[in-house]
Amino acid sequence: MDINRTKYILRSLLLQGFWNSRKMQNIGLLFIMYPYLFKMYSTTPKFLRRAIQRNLETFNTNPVMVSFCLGSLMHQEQVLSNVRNNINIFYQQEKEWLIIRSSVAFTVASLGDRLFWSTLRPLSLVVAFSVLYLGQIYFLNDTMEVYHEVPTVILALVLAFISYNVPVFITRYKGFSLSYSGTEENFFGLTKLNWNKIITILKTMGQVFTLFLFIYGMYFHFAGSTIDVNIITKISILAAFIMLSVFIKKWDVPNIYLYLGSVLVFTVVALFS
Amino acid sequence: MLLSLAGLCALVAFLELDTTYVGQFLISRPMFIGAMLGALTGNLLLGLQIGIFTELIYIDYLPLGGTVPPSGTITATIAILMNYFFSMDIYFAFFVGIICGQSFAFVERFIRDKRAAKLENIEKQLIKIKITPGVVIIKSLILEFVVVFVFLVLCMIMFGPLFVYLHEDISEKVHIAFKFSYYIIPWVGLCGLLMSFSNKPKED
Repeated sequence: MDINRTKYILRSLLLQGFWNSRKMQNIGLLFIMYPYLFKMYSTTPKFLRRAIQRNLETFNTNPVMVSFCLGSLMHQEQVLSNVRNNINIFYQQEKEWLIIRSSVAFTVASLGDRLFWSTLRPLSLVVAFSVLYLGQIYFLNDTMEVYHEVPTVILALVLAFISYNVPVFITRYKGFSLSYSGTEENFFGLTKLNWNKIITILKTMGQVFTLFLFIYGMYFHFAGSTIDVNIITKISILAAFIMLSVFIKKWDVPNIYLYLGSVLVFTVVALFS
Repeated sequence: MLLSLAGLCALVAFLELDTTYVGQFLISRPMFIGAMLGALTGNLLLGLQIGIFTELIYIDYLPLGGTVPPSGTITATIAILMNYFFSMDIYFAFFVGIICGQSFAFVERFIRDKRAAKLENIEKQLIKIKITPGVVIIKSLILEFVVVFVFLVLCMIMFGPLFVYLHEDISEKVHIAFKFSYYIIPWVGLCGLLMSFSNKPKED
């Protein structure tokens, strides 16, 4: 069957359109698969209803990497459609369909979350920060006094957008083709790329650039300050909070609690001093 | 004032759909929303700074599985609008934004639970081919837009005057406390950013 890739990739943008806490992305997945199922079972309403029911099972994966699931699911639907005249084989294939669906969705979710949410998203932030610094916009200072800032800000935002969305776009397109033409042996095209290596390289890049931004930021923040009691107090409190931030990560405590804690502590100190 | 407030809230509510429901192009990330609102309210750099600080303070939160993180979009929006409409100092407006962003996570969880409660009925209709999934999703998106819009407007109308009163009433020392807490955000946030790139798997 001829598949219009663009149509299904565009539909996949609404995968989370009816996110619910019970079956998560199930309605979104059905929305993507709907034209395909209609085309496949247009002459057999009974099988169409069964296909809809099948696609309404719990589904949860990474929204970018879902294209890897779509190709494999369409491939499996094709297999099911071919055996629908033999009900025993049909039921057996349907069970297999469910197993494939959940295993692909789970693996893809794990990879996608690590690559897109934990790596590319913060990395695009680092890209923006680097451009801002190069344009002499020192956002780490509590006040930013810079002129002619608009082109730099636009450039930073555009590069951040591109650095995240270009890999997303490529993954959506390539994922669909790879998984549709893939087999169970290459896990529907998923093993064709060394995902762990890509993630490790990107994360290392992120670490290096962030460390550089941190040191550069510190230098510009305190350069030119005269050493007096105020500046020493400021540096000491800052160092204490930075260390505390590293320390609380061991218990997975988010930084937001450190901020709220600091508001509370400083307010109490201010009220009683 | 009300008209421009409603317009800005509607714009943010529309873009907020990108966070979870449509596309996830990250155009709803605080840095973009902050810069956009900053430009619209006449202070691009302040908006950008609020956006960046919000990104950094929420860097630990990832929308994995069924988790509903606090909304960075709401936080940045409320902070910028409080500063613009009520002339609130930015370090205090940011604190108000954080409270609203955290509160919105509860609202979002409530909506998701409500959708789950209606799911059985919707599924029956879908299987009988009485409705299409497209219609279900469009209705859900409209509802989400309305909820975010109403939430933003209510936060501004209800919390605005309340926090302005508190803001004017608290002593200068407490202002310094809020200011200093605001000052530590980017440094603590950069630490969080650095650690988010850790290759070491987390211990259970």
